[in-house]
Formats: sequence, structure tokens, C-alpha cells
Amino acid sequence: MTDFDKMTTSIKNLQDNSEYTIQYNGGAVDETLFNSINWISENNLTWSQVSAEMGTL
Amino acid sequence: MALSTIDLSQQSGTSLPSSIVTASGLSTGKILQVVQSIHTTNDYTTSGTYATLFSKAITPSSTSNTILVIATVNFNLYGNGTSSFPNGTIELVDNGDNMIARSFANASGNVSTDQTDQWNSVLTLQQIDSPSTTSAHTYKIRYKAGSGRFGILGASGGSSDNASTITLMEIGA
Repeated sequence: MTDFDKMTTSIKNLQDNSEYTIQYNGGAVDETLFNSINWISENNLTWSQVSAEMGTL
Repeated sequence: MALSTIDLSQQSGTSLPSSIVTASGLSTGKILQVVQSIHTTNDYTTSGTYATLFSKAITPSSTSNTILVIATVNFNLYGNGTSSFPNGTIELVDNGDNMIARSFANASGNVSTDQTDQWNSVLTLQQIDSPSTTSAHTYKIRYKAGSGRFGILGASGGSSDNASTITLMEIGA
């Protein structure tokens, strides 16, 4: 599982049924990438929450 | 049975002499122009709502000509901790956002029981369209997720690896 996979899986774990699009062409999976997400459903997550969840995967 | 003879003594190089055949002598089926767009980014969605990925416009030279559209789309499926059967849909729409071709991206069987495996493959959409216009006509590729995470891969960093493309050919009537 790549860091990118961990990020999207973490979003699902923390906020089920999240709908969004994201562009990822390699590189760092960080707050900048998280903030680039185009949310289609409502988002209440923060990067710190997602990052913490990623650490458990 | 009628027989036709081509006098090869008249042939020069690799081209047939104009006295035998000319492009203007072909009444139908001529490819008048070809344009292409190459998708250069990797895009992912978890949404069941269509989003436009990339597009290409063509301006037909006559209202009676047709457009052959060929789209090749490299995709990635990921269970995303949601699905053992991640899937998505790709569709080709015309200038009025009317769907003219659609294909489904499916993992062949159970990708994994822990819903974290990847599945990469390629889909091709082809359609002959009759836009009946001499104005610019745009064709778009859109995508949406069914379950899991659905990604469309592009050629990045100048590489042609995994390139997703849309090619438009104007065919003379």
C-alpha cells in the first residue's frame, strides 16, 4: 500500500462515503496534496486527522 | 470477369502516378484531418458523479462529414478499504454532453479480501459521429467511480507510458 493509497483509505475510514476527485502524479503525500482535494461531498477532516490514521495502516 | 491492369513501368519511387489514381479521385472515406489530445496527469475519483477528464475539439470542413473518435484510457482500480470489486465507468460525450459511447472498468474477480489491491488495465472507446456542423465540435472523456477508488492514468514527465488519449479523424462523406 503506497502513501497515496493510505491517504485515500484513511479518508474512507474516518469519513465513510466521501466523494472527491484528486490529481496525484507522484511525489509527497502531505498536507499540500490533501488540501488539493476537490471535495464533492462535505468534508470535515483535517490533515492531522488523516495523517494520524495513515500511521495506523 | 473484368480485369484491371496497372502499368508498373509508369511507376516512380513508391507512389502511383497521378494518371492512375489521385486523392481527389476518391469519392468517399478520405481522412481529411486528424487531431489528438494526450492526457498528462493521473486523476482519481471516489465519486459516483461524472467528472470531465480531458477533451479535444475538431472543426469539420463540411456538415456531411463524419468524425471517427478513438479514445484509449488507462485506468487504475483500488479497493480503498471499501470494496473487493472496485469499478468505474468511462464515457465519451459529444459537444452537447450527450453520451455516445460508454465502457465499464472492472476488476476481474475478487481483487483482495482486504480491499487494498490494485488493478490496472486499459479501455478503448470508438464511435463514428455525425456532428452536422462546420463549427468547432468538442468531444470529452468523463469518468466516475462505482465502488472503491477509480483512477485514470496519463503520460507524465514527458513519458508516453500509460498515456490516455483521444483521437479525432474527420472522414469525408
